[in-house]
Amino acid sequence: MKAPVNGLPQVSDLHHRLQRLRRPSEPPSGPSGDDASGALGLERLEREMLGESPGDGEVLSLKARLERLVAVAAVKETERRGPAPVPLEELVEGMRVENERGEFFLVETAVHLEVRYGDVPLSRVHAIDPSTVGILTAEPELDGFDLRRAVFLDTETTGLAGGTGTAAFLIGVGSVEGDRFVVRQYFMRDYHEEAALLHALAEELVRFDCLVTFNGKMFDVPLLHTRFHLNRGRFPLSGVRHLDLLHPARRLWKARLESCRLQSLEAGLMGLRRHGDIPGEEIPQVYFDWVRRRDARMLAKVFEHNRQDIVSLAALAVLACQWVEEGRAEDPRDVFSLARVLERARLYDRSEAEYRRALDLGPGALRGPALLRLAWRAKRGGEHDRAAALWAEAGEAGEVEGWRELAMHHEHRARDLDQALAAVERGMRLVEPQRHRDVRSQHLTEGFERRQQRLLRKRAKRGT
Amino acid sequence: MSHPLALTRSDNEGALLSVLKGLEIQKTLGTDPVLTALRHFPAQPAQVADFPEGLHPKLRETLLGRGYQGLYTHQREAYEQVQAGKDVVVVTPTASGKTLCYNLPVLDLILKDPDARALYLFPTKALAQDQLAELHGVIEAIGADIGTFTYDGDTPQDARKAIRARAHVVVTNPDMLHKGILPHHTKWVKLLENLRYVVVDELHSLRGVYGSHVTNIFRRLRRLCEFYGSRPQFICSSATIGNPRELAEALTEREMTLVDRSGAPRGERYFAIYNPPVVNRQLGIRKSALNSARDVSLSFLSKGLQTIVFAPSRLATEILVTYLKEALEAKPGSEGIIRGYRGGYLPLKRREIERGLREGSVLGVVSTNALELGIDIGSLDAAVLVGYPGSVASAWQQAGRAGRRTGTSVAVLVANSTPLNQFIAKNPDYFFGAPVEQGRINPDNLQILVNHIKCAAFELPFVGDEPFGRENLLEILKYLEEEKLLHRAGDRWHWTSDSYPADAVSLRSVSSDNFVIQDVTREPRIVAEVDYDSAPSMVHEKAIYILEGRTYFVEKYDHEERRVEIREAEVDYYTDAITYTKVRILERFAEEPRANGRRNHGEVHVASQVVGFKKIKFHTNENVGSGELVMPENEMHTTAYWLTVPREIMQALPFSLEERRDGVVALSYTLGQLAALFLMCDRHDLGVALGDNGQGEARIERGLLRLGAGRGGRRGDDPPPGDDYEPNVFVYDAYPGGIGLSEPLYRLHDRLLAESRSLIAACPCTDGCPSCVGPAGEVGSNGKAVAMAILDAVLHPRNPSRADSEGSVR
Repeated sequence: MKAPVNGLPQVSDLHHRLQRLRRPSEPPSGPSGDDASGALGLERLEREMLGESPGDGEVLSLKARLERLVAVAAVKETERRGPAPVPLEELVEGMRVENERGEFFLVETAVHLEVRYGDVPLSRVHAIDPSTVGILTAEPELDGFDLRRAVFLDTETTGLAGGTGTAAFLIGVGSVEGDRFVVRQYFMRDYHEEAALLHALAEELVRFDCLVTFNGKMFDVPLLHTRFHLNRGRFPLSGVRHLDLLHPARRLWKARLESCRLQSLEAGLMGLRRHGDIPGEEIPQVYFDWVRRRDARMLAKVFEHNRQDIVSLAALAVLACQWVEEGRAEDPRDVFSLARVLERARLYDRSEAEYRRALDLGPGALRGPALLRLAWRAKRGGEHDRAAALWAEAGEAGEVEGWRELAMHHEHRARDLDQALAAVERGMRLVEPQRHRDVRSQHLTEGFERRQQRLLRKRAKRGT
Repeated sequence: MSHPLALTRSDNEGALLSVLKGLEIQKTLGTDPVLTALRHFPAQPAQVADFPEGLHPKLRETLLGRGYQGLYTHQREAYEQVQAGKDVVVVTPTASGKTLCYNLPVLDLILKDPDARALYLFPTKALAQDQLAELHGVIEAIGADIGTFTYDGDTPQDARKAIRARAHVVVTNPDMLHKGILPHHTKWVKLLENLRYVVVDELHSLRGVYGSHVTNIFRRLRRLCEFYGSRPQFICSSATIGNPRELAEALTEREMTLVDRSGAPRGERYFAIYNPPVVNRQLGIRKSALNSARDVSLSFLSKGLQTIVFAPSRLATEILVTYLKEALEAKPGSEGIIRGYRGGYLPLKRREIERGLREGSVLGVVSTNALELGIDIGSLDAAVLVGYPGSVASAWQQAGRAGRRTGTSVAVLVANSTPLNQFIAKNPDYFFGAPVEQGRINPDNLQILVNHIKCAAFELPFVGDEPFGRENLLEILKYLEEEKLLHRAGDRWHWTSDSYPADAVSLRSVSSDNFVIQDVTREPRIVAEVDYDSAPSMVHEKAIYILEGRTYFVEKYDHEERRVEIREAEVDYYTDAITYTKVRILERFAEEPRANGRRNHGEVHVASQVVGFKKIKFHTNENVGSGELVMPENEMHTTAYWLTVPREIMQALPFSLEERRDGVVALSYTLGQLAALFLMCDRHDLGVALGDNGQGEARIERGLLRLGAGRGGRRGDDPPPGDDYEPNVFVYDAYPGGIGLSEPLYRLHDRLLAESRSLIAACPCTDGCPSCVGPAGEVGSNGKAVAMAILDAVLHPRNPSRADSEGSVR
């Protein structure tokens, strides 16, 4: 051992000390109180060769240990003689692109707009009304959003942690070009290709004035901002109108489908099932393996996964618009959801029609909520008697709010104290059993009790 | 709003002096007075300077409006040095207006250049809140639009974006910088591109492992600033330590200018050292420091003097709170005038107590060193220190909590029975003249450095021959590449893992998980927290847990869930855990025969485990029972110095095997105490353990009471050392990876042994006492003699007969 200088061991010990960082529970080394250090050292050597961590506690016979050593050596041989890495160009059709920041790999594919995803061909995009996206999202700034002039974007990254250590190694962008939907995938074959990739991507993106993503607001866009910053550039689409389809998708379909992950929507709405698709959580490791071994077999699946994500994104965007325009929903849960979406967009007549349709489709868990929304609209519109009837119906369907509103209506508007008390009593029957179990029930019960006291006092005063 | 019992200022001096007088005339059996020292420090008037010429007029106006007629000299000096482009460290006592030393240049610059940005770093959130409030006050008075915000774990998500965009001054702590800001630096472009000042408060607390981490965080910050084209100046503020400039330079890796002549006024101060009276001369036993401190504190408190008592452990804190409450809160309406304070209390409660102290509704507080740092608690009349807190710096800081700008104050250090404390009590000049301890860090501790290199690579790929730290960076990068964490492309090293490296690094301890303490007496509710490392010894099953004077029984200890359940219990005893420590040698850096022994230092593996507990009666401190426990082991790698006593020497001693074993325990006690003294480090920075070369490794408890009947008790599976006993006495760095204490100790070996021998020989006790080798009951009736014999044999060439005759000197 080299004598330390200034209390710190010498540089040449660094490698040794780094090795110890790896295996912190090594048994003692050096001339300590080790008995028969010779035997101990040999055993350690064997363990190292076997790749075992020390302290496994197992005591093997010499024969068993030798057998193990031989077996391990054999495996290592096979690994080395394994299949040779398959280069990228053999599995993915693309080209090397060079620009002033270097080079990267670009893949371009296209599908015909007439191809159907589920029932709907992508060509439907031409028939979408300019106001639809604004309605879909209830965001007035997205009024006039034209999917034909939008870029559909999805990234594959080295992790979900966010932060500056996460890179987007594959960025896919799709858009309508003539009678096709073209997907361009920008790929960095190694980290030093990122600058060139982003440069080319920026040039491509400047011609778009709207962006469509799936969860891009929380993930893809902030990530691209970071990557551009780190490469001394600027993300060209900041400030552009952005349709993040995740939120409208949830509003339209979560009531029925529960999972609104892109692949669940694909399957549930368009009947598409992917085969041999690579799970998202494995993707970062695929890229790490690729940069080390340059074997494209798993990587090719990532390209396909990304391409499919973008095409599905476009198809879903078209489908969502169509739903809003044509009222295609049939399941009462979908109809109710659609009604909510229309209501948020202030299309009250249409939304009311959808609520009614939901009711007509028969009893269900959403009957009560549908009645409530209709009642609210009636009240807003000044149609109090109609509202009252709807509150009562909602109450019968189990909605406490219905009884509460009805009670208020009778107390303050219709001035019918008996009816009001009846409504209060019905309401209490619903929440009283729950009052100790959750705060909301407790509040509602107390509210009813107060109202009841007040009504009784009023009635007594009137002498009725 | 002051407490009815509290006196007005003019009465204070009289009351304080009368208490001191009372202490002075107290005597003990025999002739030793209890006050072994009473020093007087005269008041210091203020030294004032004009406002600097170039100061922004609005700032000058505001300060005048707030009653400032000028600046203290050190405030002016700090401002000038910062204007001259220097990196500055300001060292002045508490309440000397050090915040203005950094607020002034920062606000001045922002007023002149609204694009300028500053980063303020405080070690705790409580301090950050305190200082932020003050900053806000000044800014409001100026009336300018300067955004200052805290950015830490509690900042709500929707506020974070706004803060990034609008804050001129971002107030945060090293942990948040490490986890929440640096790895997301692209969101902080405005701050980093325009960063002009980094303010580091309480610099002295950035020592040891924590300081080593922070140095690396600063390396990462400076690296990012370079990427964004800025080069901020560091303005640091520190309490008194032996080497503030050196520490600041080590932390920031910049040349530092020191500003340390305080111009702030200081009231008159008295500092007394109190040695509890001897109650049993033959056994050398003194009245316990805890009980003496209680009596001294009561003398102050009963006269309405606001007093802070610093206790050496959480347990001692709670016991003392119990005693003081018993004495003073008997009257109705007097509840809450005595409070306890420690880190494990919930934040809301701590804020309440701090406020109570400032406003005067809290008369007395018993605290761990948690209140040592600069949280504003107003000016107190007296400070009582239960035992020497382990470093001269801490002692002065604790004493400094009494008396701020004007008026008289008193600090009393109550010595306990340990050799260290007794040494100070008998040699007060040593304490008053002692150089204050140095702050030490080891930022290139490999475990720490490598973790931060991972974080740095995550933040920005390493390029070519970029420097980072003082080890061979290239080799470390290659090592990380082998670990599949980095990938080299061209001349850059990229992070290739989907994990977030900052999550794996805890800045303060091995694990960052706190245990939650839940009171299940009625509705379960969380009442306190305890850190991971302390949990097994503080809240093991069947422990008595004390919180603000109330006792609880620990019913359940769930290590996996990090949760402990306690229930109120009326008990008359408390518990103290017994820890076994085992040390294994991993690597020897150096070894050498010295006289007849051997000195060594190197890397070791330390495993400690709580194996049982004692039950101790309140007030009388009688041992009334014990219990066994099976608790998880705590392990770490660190560096150590150790003494090896050769087998031949041990065998030649004229004592039985058991006596020889006890003698080694006795010796280790003394060595541990004096090591801290000579290293001028905090006693808690070191750990002591024993080993046995004759068996490869052996376990022994850390010099405290043994379990079970009699003195031979050991854990069942652990054979005691046999005749081939060759003891290793380890003194190790109490931090993973070590912080550089072992090598100096290795060099001090000769002096350490010689002084130990002198101390033991000069001690007037017969069989050993806490002032030399440990209480006789714990080291055997011959522990002292054997320890001396060992030292003689090791220090002097072959003289067994001499050892024998020395051993019988009384």
